[in-house]
Parts: sequence; structure tokens; C-alpha cells
Amino acid sequence: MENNVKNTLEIKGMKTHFFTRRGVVPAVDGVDITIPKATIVGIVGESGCGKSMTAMSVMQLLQYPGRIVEGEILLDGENLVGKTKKEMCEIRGNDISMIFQEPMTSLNPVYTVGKQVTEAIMLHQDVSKEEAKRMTIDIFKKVGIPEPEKRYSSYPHQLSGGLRQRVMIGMAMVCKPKLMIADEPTTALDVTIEAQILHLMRQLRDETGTSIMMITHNLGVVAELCDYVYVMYAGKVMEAAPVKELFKNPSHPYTFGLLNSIPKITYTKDELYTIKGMVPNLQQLPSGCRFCPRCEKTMRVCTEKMPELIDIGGGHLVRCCLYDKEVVGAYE
Amino acid sequence: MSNEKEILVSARGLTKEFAAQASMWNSKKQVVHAVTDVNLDIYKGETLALVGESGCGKSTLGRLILHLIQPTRGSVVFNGTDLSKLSDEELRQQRKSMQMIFQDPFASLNPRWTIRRIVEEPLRTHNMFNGSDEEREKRVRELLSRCGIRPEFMDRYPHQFSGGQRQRVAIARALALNPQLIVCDEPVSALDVSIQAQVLNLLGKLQKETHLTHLFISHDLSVVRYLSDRVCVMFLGKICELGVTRDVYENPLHPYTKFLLDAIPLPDPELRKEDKDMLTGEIPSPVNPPSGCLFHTRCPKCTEKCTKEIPELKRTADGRMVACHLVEGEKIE
Ligand SMILES: Nc1ncnc2c1ncn2[C@@H]1O[C@H](COP(=O)(O)OP(=O)(O)OP(=O)(O)O)[C@@H](O)[C@H]1O
Ligand SMILES: Nc1ncnc2c1ncn2[C@@H]1O[C@H](COP(=O)(O)OP(=O)(O)OP(=O)(O)O)[C@@H](O)[C@H]1O
Ligand SMILES: [Mg+2]
Ligand SMILES: [Mg+2]
Repeated sequence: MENNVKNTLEIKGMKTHFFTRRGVVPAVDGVDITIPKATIVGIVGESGCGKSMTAMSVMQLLQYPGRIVEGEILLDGENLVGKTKKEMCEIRGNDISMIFQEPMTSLNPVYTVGKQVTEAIMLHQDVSKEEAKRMTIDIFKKVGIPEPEKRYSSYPHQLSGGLRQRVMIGMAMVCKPKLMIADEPTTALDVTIEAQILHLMRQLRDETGTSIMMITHNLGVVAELCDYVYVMYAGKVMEAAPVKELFKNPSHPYTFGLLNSIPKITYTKDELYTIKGMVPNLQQLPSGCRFCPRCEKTMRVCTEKMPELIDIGGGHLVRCCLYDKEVVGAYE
Repeated sequence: MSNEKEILVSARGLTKEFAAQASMWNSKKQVVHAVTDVNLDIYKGETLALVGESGCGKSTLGRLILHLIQPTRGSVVFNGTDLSKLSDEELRQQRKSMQMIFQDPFASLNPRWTIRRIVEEPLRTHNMFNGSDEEREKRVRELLSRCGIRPEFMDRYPHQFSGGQRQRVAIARALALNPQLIVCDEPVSALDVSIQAQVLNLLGKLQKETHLTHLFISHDLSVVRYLSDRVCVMFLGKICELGVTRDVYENPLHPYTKFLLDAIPLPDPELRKEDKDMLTGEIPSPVNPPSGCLFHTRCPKCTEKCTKEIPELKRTADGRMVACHLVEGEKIE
């Protein structure tokens, strides 16, 4: 059955809400995301737009008072929503791996990194302990860990952030998960180390066919690594497109603003474009389109109606009234 | 060209060594070579950027220049005055003309103070306007509106503002005493791109309007390109290249600068390079810096000489300073 599913992950109409004492926070509010096999999909957006909560929902690692209230999460066609804790544990061990900005949280601090990778290998492959140890050292070499024999017996805290991130990617390479979720994996790292990590992630995808969900707020990283991109704003997907299309033809005013507010390496001292206003409070969302109070192209209808995701061709989706034929027709 | 410019800050042989414990379990004392033998002039009215990887000594150098920490060796001359020769009171007076803005606008503003109080604090401490409340309030209003914060919001608290607005309040406070030099230590690193743009625009505007001199510390090379006139690239506590920003970006001379610029992820998928030259290995430790050129353990062009002799900063034909044995140039001084 598995082989005829071409999408590794399909998130359909997912809503993840936090039920706080001060009311409901709709952190993820009806999101559809598809990650095809062996594809790197980027999720971008400003702080608080729901990127991490989307990832945590897929992993089913949401903290109280958060919970998925609607939607499906299909991993190779199988719905993860409603799985028991035990089933999820198994899935997290075998099919999905996750790396965070601070990889300390995903490595066990009381075991050496070598032992952790060796055990992961023995869990997934029928090899002896010696063989697994040799494979670990090979993997460490492959992900560019200097002096791999020596690092084998290092504890996570004895390694730099870049090295820990490499251990995590090495681990994923031996486990060959269907999906890797990377939540800002390079945000804390220097550019030269970031470049190495991005290279390794690409290698992981090429060699093991792993699909990758890359969460970042760095549009440079997206341009460098991803095949397809989702732009989120206040819990919703505002635009989604193949990476080249998105950068060439950003169609949502929010995406346009994001792309134009970053300084380019090409020499210029002109003023940068700024998106006016602030990210909305999720508990006091504006009526209609969530971006409309900050949008330069607001029309009256924008305050009245939340636009649907509209397909403008070439795999490019936009949630904006400007592309709604009915609306535009009425104006003309 | 640079010869005619007026020098505001002149650092000579600036060195800072920290004594640090080896680790939690090992009480052996180690020496961290945070900044080593830095010679640097900052010209009046320019924005000089300091770039380099984490731990290379950018913040330490910024704090040494403001004399917030004592150098182990070397001197800083600010406007003709050697800062190490000043008494505490004289240094306090001198500080009026030197300010610092930090990365984290959350931590650097007192959460229990209104932004009026935050911005007016330096005016009070230095008893500006002879204590006239009216004059002071006028100044606070002027500073806030210059930084794009509506003066009617001055009785609100920091948490009622966005990160970018808070950083602009921090800039207003830094400007209160009409400083000549502002050291900005990663002022936009913690901000979202849309908010980062507001702060960068403000810094750019201030630079045009006033004769303010900025030392801008950042690891974001796109931001540095956007904002700075000259750039100083540091590696493990030393300067490896210093020059006009455009020259350095268009034609980096030091091998480390090349790697650094090549590593930047460009926000344009058409320019994607999947086979970048990559720096291998980790950044060497400032506790045991390598012999010779500090970069030699990672440098693809490393020669025998590089492993033994420390390269001096040389002046190249286009007026740049580069510390590399493989780059032609004349000795300085
Ligand atoms: N425990 C909680 N209670 C209430 N709201 C929460 C809780 N955890 C998260 N949220 C809200 O959910 C929203 C989405 O958070 P999320 O962490 O997914 O953002 P993000 O896009 O990952 O941002 P960042 O770039 O800062 O990591 C935020 O607005 C946040 O305030
Ligand atoms: N008070 C201190 N005691 C001991 N070591 C210190 C101290 N302050 C800084 N260091 C060390 O000095 C070196 C330079 O630190 P510094 O903070 O100047 O680097 P940086 O370039 O600003 O790095 P980052 O980009 O991470 O801010 C580092 O190795 C750091 O660990
Ligand atoms: Mg997050
Ligand atoms: Mg610093």
C-alpha cells in the first residue's frame, strides 16, 4: 500500500488551539500542507505565526493546554491524529525525526553521542554492537565531525551547537526516516556552519529519500535549500509555491513585504521596505483577512471576508482577495 | 582617501585576555585570548561594521573601545584622549559621548519603567537642562518622534511595544546625550525581518542626518553590506581584513573572508549553489589558538610559512588592510 502514496506528509485542515484561562488561542487555524516524497518543503513566517506548533502537532508533542481540534495528519497515507501514545512513540522513533534550534533537547544528556547513535543503528538494523560502532564512526566522518573516534565518547554538552546538529543529522541518516522535521536548525549557528548543515540536509534527502519540513524565518535558507515553500501568517497559510516561483512572483502582499524588507547583498543604501503595524494578537484577530490591517492593497471586501486559498497556476496558491475573480470582477 | 578623514577612535595593540575555568569539573585556570593586538581607527561619521563568527571577539572589542572593560594591553584614544588615563569621574563625563545598543531589547529596558522614564534617565543622571522638567520632556518627545515612536505613547511600558519599537526606544535612549559614537551590538539579530527593516531604516536615517559614528557589530553579512561604509572581518580575536565594504564584498582578499561571504544563503533561488566550497572542521579555540596564522588549520591555501609565522596586517594597493602571507601589500608604520 505504502508505495503508491506519493506524498510523505499531508496535513489537511489542521487546527491546533490552546485553551488558556484567558480564552482560546488559535495558534494553527486550518492549515493544509503537503510534503511529497524526497522533497524539502520550507515553512516561513514571522515569530508567533504557528510554525513550531504545526511541527509539534505532527509529532503529537503538544503541551497542555494545546490540542489538535480538527483535521488530519497523514503520514504515508496513515492518519496520525488519534494514535495512542505508544503508537506515536514508535512512529517518532522510526518514521519521523526532528531536529530543533537547540539540539540539546533531542539528545540525551546522560549518554555519550556515540552510544546514542550506535543504539539507534542497532534498533534499525540487524548488526552486532561492534559493527554498529564502526558504522557510527563512519557516519560521524560523513557528517564532518572532526576526530570521530574521539568524539564518539563525548557527551552532548561537550560538543558545540554545530557538532550536536551534525550528530542529529547523522542519526537521521542511519534511521532513514520518512520525514525529518527541522525547526530552525541553523538559527543559532554561524553562517559557515549553517552552510555545512544545509549541505548535509540536502545529502540526507538525496541519499535516503527522506522528506524534510524546514521551518525557518530566514528567507536566504529557504532560497538555498527548499523545493517548495509555505508562507504562514497568524495561524494560516497565506501563500504556497515552488521556491523559484515564490521569489520571482510573490503574490500575496505579505510575502511581497517579507521579501522586500530584507537587505540584499547587492550594494544599496536605499530605504528598506517595511510592513507597517504589528503581528496581530491571535485572540483579537481582525475580521476578514488577517493581514488586512497591515496591507497596502486593502479593499473594503478584505475586512469582510477571509479569502480562500486560490490556485493561480503552476502549483502557486494565494490567500488574497486580489485574486478572487468575483471580487475583482465586482470592482471592474 | 581615508588619510584626510578625521579619526574619532584609535585603538592600538588592543588585547583582552580572560581568565576562565577550564570546565565545570576542572578548576584549572585557562587564558581565553578574546581580542589580540588589534589596531583600528574609526573615522568621524562613518559606520564601521565588525563581522566574524561567534566567539571571535566582536563584543569584547566593542566593549574595550568604550572602556567598559579594561584592556589587558593596549590603548584606546577617543577624540584625542587616552581613555586609560582618565579618572573615574572623567570617564563618566566622557561616556556621554559614547553609547551602546544591545541585541536584546527585552533585557536592556527596565520593564517597570515607562518609556518616558527610560529615555529621560540619562538626562537626569547627567543633570542636563539644569533639572528643568519642561525642557527634559521636550527633549524626550523629540527623541522618541525622531525614532518613530509616537510621543503620546511615552507613558506606556516596554511590554506594550513590539520588539522593533522597543529597540527604537533603546536607540532614543542612546541618543539622549548627543553621543558621538554608538556601538551597536547585534541590534537587529533578535528581530523579525519586517521589524528589523524599521530599525535598519532608522539607523540609516540617523547616519545621514547627524554626524554620528557607528560601530556596528553583526554576524549578518547582508545587513552589514546594507548599512556599513567599511567592514572589519575578525577571526579568533584578530583582524584579518579591513576595508571599504563594497571592495571587500566584491573582491575579498583574505581566504577567510571569501569563505564567509560564500557561505551566506542568498535570498534568491536562481543563485543557488549546491557545490559551495565549504569550510571544514570547527572554529579553533581561543584558549589554544593555533601557531602562525590563526586560520591556517582551516585554510585551503595554507603553506609551510603560514603554520609558523604570524602574518602582520599589510596595506594593499587599494588601501585595504589584510593579514595573510599570500596577499601582496606593504608594511604598515
Ligand atoms: N502554551 C501556550 N499557550 C498559549 N498560546 C501559545 C502557547 N504556546 C504557543 N502559543 C501561541 O501559539 C502561536 C504559535 O506559536 P509557534 O511557537 O508555533 O510560533 P512560531 O511560528 O514557531 O514562532 P517563532 O518563529 O518565534 O518560533 C503563538 O502566537 C503563541 O503565542
Ligand atoms: N567575561 C568573560 N570571561 C571569560 N571569557 C569570556 C568573557 N567574555 C567573553 N569571553 C570569551 O571571549 C571570546 C570572545 O567573546 P565575544 O563575546 O567577544 O565574542 P563575539 O564575537 O561577540 O561572539 P558572538 O557573535 O557569539 O556574540 C569567547 O571565546 C568568549 O567565550
Ligand atoms: Mg518556533
Ligand atoms: Mg557578541
